[in-house]
Amino acid sequence: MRYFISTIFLILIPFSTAFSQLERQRAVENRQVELTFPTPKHIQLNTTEPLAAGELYYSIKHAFGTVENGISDFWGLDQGANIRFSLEYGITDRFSVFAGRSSLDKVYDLGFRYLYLKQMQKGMPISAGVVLTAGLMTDDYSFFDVSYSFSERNQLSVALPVSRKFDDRFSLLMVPTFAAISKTNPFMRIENPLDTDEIYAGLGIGSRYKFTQRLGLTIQAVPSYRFETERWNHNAAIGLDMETGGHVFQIFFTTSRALNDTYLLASSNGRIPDYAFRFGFNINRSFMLR
Amino acid sequence: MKTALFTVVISIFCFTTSAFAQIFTADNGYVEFESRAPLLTFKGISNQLHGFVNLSTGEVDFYVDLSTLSTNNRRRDRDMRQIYLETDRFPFAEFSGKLTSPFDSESNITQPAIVEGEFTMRGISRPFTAEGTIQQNEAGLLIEASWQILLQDFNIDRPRVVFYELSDVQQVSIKITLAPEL
Repeated sequence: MRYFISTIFLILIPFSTAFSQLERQRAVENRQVELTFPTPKHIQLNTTEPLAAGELYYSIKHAFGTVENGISDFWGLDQGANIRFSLEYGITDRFSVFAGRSSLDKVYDLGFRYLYLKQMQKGMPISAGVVLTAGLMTDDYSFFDVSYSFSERNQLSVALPVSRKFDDRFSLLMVPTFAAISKTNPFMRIENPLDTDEIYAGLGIGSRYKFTQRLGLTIQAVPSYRFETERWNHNAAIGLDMETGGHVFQIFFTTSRALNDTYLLASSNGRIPDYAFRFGFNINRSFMLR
Repeated sequence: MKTALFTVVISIFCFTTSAFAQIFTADNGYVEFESRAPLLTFKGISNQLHGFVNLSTGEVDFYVDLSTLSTNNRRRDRDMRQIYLETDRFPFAEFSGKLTSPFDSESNITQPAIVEGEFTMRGISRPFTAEGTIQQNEAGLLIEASWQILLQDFNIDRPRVVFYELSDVQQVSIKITLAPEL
């Protein structure tokens, strides 16, 4: 008899559950972690944020003069800015190509970005990528009475960004970066220019802390080493990321006016106690072409 | 004793069988939202609307995993998941309620329907009434409905700088065929 009653209950249990609310189930249990950083650039560092296939990313970046003269040159804005325009296009969800132009020494560059690791909600704890940039310095040095050939104007850099989004607010970024300049000259806007080739190595460290869904505090530090002079150079920056839904605005103060990888390692940095830092801002926008 | 028990068992079985014929479910319904802002109109769709209807009790339950919504723009989708809807914290949009209008289960013509209950998104529940239609056909129950929601009702932070690209009013439509549970 007990066996019979138990059987009835066993039959009825699934019927009773059928009358309850649907069980909520996620369509995908383990998703890729997204928006570790809002754009491919974090102040002046490369990030691991990929473009989507068919996405065209446009950015215009500025770094003005140092603020030390105060209102007399409107905290550096009258000194003129290093300006960089760049376009980047997503070939796949991991691979994108870009082209840019920086006014500092009139450098044109081409490159690609490849994301070989993607942070997942479960499992893979980091994202990692590689950014290779080949640049051509095109400034006119005819007044210098020395001609520079094409091969003497080349610049090459490789950045290896690794990032982790710890939670909705906090993201961390490390970017080992290497750069080479085929030949420098005394008029180039780098630290202590010599008449030689130059090789640099640096470790960029960046972080973002989001106060709100649209506003985040950003910091950056880039110690770099110059092999020819065996000297260290130190970059630091602090800023705000503002996501508006269409554009991402980044405003910052930085010790360097570099806006590409090679100059981030090679150009001079002002001392913060001397107010030798400068204002800058980036405007970023994406468009889907396919 | 045995006879009485047998009768109870048969009665329960008959009841549950008849009740089952009144239950319909689906997990591949269509849902879309449309945003009409001054400079931009776009749609987001998902084909993973889950639904449950019990005609005998009038219970109605629907949900969709919001991360399955696609606007045909992966950058926008990424922003929608991470910034607007926060789908990691609030994965579902869901409605639970009752069918409050009469429904003739013997008829196969399209009938007007009203459901009342709670609509929940981003952890915020709002009393909700929607009007639509139900039609019983060979496949089961075909339900279509459409309504509007306001983003501000669900604490969705619409960007003030580019408000002209995203409307506060979202037109939501569903179309789902629920199969009978056997």
